[in-house]
Amino acid sequence: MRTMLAITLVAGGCTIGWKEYVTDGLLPNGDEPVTVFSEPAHAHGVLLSVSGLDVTVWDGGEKIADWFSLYPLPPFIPLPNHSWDEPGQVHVWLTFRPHRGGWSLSPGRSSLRVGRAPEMPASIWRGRYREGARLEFPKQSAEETMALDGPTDIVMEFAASSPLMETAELQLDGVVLEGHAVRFPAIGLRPRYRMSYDSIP
Amino acid sequence: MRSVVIASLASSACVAPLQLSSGLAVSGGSVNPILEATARMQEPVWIDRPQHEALWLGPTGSVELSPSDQKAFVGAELLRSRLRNPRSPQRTFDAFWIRPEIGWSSSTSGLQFYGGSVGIMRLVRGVPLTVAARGGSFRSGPDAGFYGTLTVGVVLSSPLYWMQ
Repeated sequence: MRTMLAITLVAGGCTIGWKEYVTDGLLPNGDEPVTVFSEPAHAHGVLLSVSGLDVTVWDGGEKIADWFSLYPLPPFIPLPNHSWDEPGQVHVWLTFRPHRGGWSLSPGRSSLRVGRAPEMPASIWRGRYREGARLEFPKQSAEETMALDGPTDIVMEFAASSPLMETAELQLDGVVLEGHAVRFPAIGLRPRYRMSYDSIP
Repeated sequence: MRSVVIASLASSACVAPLQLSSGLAVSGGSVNPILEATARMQEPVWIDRPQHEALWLGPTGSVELSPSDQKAFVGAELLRSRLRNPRSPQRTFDAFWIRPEIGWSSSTSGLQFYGGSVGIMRLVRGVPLTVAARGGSFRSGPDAGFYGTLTVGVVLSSPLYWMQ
């Protein structure tokens, strides 16, 4: 009995919880992908692959509220993220892993379609190299073109209100190999909300 | 294994929305003030994402304190939530629930109460407030016969908890 009580006290000593808004990637046929990624952020991502280039479309998640409690107090202190008091736009995270040279990307050519609304191009994007120089890019005009010289993360922003109210369709265009455009199939982005918990210790 | 399950339940309960309320209890012609705490552990069973509406189902537990005794109630709650304009300062939130319950009283032994409760939750100046009523009957003890309560309270959580 004492052991059980001690374990309960330790587990509930300090509990935190948070709620996130995420968009799960869907395969071109609308099916959910089988999770093959070890990184939690990529768990619901989609891998697009052509000879010499892998592209992961994933969602970084957006925290909307936190909960915190100290045992034996109940779950006081809800902390809504103040960003949810402001309108937001849709963000899509992409990771490019080239396996040969000659790749480039024009993020502004990618587009998002939400429901029956017309396609909208990426308005801005920002990114960084994941390895090598680790250069941080500020927000760029969507018209900019970048060389994909190594593993690269970028975030595209679309002028659609977030959270999405239904599944959207992302068309990744503007990927070029030595002057030749490479077209990828459109993939779905499905909104979802998730609660996560953790205890300290 | 049982310890892990208990610890997990305790951790989960710590981040579930907790409702604190006060009001009056009516039984046997007498009226008494009460304080009540209710914990919920819900999961959505139906979601209308474009409208941010959902139907939730899950167990609840309530502890009620009065000058004369303490009571405990457990039940299964069905809660309908509706959030509007979630990403703006003008967000609104409404919910209502229905909950069949059984209960115990510290003044008698054994299962004593059969009944249920209903309530509504509404966002007022960003705070989820509740109005709830419970009705049922105690089989024996000082509250034997009809037992009813009317309470107003607050939910210690963000309305974004119910966002779907």
